[in-house]
Amino acid sequence: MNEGPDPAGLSSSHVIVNELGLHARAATKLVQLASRFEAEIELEREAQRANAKSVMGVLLLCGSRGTSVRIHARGRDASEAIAAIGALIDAGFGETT
Amino acid sequence: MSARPDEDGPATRPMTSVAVEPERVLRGLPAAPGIAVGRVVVFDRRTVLVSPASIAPAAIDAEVARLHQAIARSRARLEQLRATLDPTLEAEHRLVLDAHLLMLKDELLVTSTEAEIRNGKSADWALRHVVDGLVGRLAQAKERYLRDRTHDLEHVAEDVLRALTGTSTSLPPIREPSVLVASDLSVAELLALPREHLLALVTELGTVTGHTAILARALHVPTIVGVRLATRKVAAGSEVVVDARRGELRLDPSRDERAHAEQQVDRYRVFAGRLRESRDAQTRLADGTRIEILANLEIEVELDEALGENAEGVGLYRTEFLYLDGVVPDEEHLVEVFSHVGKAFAPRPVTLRTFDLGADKLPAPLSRERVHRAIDVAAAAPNPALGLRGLRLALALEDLFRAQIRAILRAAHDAPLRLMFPMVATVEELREARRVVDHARRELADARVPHGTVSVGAMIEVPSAVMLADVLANECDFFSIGTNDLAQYTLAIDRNDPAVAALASPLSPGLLRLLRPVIALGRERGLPVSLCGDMASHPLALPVLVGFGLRTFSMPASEIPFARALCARLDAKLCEDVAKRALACATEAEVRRSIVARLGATLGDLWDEHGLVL
Repeated sequence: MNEGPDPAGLSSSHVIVNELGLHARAATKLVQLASRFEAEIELEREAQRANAKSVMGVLLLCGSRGTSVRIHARGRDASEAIAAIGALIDAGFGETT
Repeated sequence: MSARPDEDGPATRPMTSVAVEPERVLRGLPAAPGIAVGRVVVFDRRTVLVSPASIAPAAIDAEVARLHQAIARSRARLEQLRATLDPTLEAEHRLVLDAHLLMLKDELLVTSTEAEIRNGKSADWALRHVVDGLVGRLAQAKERYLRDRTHDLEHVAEDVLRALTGTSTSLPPIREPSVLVASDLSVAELLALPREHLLALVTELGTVTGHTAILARALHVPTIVGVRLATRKVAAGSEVVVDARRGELRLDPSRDERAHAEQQVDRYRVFAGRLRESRDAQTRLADGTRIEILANLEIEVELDEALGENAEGVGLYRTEFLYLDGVVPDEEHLVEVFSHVGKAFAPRPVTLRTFDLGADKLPAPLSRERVHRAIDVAAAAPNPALGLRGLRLALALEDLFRAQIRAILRAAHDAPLRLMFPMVATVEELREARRVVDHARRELADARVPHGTVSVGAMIEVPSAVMLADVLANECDFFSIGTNDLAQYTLAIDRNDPAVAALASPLSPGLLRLLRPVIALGRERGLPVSLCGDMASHPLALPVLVGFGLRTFSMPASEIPFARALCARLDAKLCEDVAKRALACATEAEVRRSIVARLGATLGDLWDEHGLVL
């Protein structure tokens, strides 16, 4: 995890490693996980941002394999949120490829 | 046995009157056999129409509340459905419902719709407008699996719209024995229906190999799929006769037709019951000749169906479905799937056919990586049936192919598996594919990964493979004849083209003449030969194949009881005579007549019960 300065909170960059990228199943898992945290969480890709608790937003971000996304989080459990979501992305959403 | 989904009326309508008659018979594809008479319940899932409507500022708060109530109702229904899902169903079905539930509370959907209402629009108009916008954005995605998500969003939105507009929201209640005529039906919906009241199922969409059709067969619900415009042509509450053996739906039967159909319902019940009783593990002709009946498998649900019918093994396990849901399965996952089916049947053998993709079956574009360029090439082929498909495509996708072969060898460690290549057209291809197998075996041995030995076979489904059968026989361990593709390539008929599909008959003399020498060669050389197309269970073709010397048949599990019943009436000598006569015929009609003439007395009642139109 490479945490960088974010005026509004914490952030961390991750590369999508699973074969399909942020497809529906992966997006569903990500949103389910993000929704467990109080923090405001956003995903950023190529200057586009989406609320990580919105499945439509995450789907519209269309991250395919190899693209890099940045997780931003602000709030009480921001660092836990970033760690958990980062781990999910790094692990390829539990898919094996 | 020709099913013509696009034909909306009897094939031969008497020309006595020129007046336009209302359609009396609708046709579709027989998906689960049986016959039923009953009253219709219609379930139409089509999009709810929404007209633009402005509302008064004073009504805005109430309208927002109405939206949230509708969403809550829709959510409660989804949650209830999720809770009642059969726990043995795959996690996949559950995750789809999870995605739908997330959409229902999505800010892009809900907050934006609320904002539109606060601009003075009605809730239904606002929701439709927001959904259309989101669908438009998703539809621009390059990835097909993302574009496909627009269907999910539409389903979710429709459900809320139905709640808003008071249109019947989900399946109508079925409180008495009824025939369900639906635009489309999901597996979960079919499971939720009261089986004791479901006489038959008719759908506009759906395919014979779809999940819903397979489940309908397992539940013994007579089913016809692909009946165009059925929900519009059939009136709710009207009476119909569903002959799912023939794929015919008769509207408003006359008293005579009704009485006749009711007789057939009773007879079919007795017939089906008798067939199900005779689930002997071994099939024999009347003279004691052993016939081996194997199952064709594609998806998990069919596995139980095949085990239930006591299949003597699996003659064709189609592996391509593992590649069609948008994710490339990795080796570990494949090992798991293959071991599971192998162990379920052990010690009976399971024949795994390496993925037969291309032509009409192409995976969603998976990524822009090198290996997948071949898939794009296959998708862009000017004539996919003659393009990069089957074994050719597998050899072009060598990484995927090798992973699959390795998985088969590994799964063979603790289950009797056989490996088979689709669409072998040349000896070179077979050699190249065998090299991949040898290479994978060496890799596994070097890495000390446990694996087993498999026999390696070739599908005979291209005319050149028939002509080369004697040389191919030197280079593999068994043959499996795929008559569907062989008919298509022999007769130059595209099975997906309704204008000509019916001409690809299994009784075509040209096809019969190609089959005989392959079967004879197998017997001479002691090379096992099986046959796995629709022909294997065809009520007229099966005796001819027995006459050619074929002893191993592979077919959908639902056809096994019928094939056994046919075999029990036949003997090898009789079949040889039938085959000899069939080979002497010049036309398909002559072949048909000659079989009927020779076997009518022996098999006539079985043909009749099966719904064969002579």
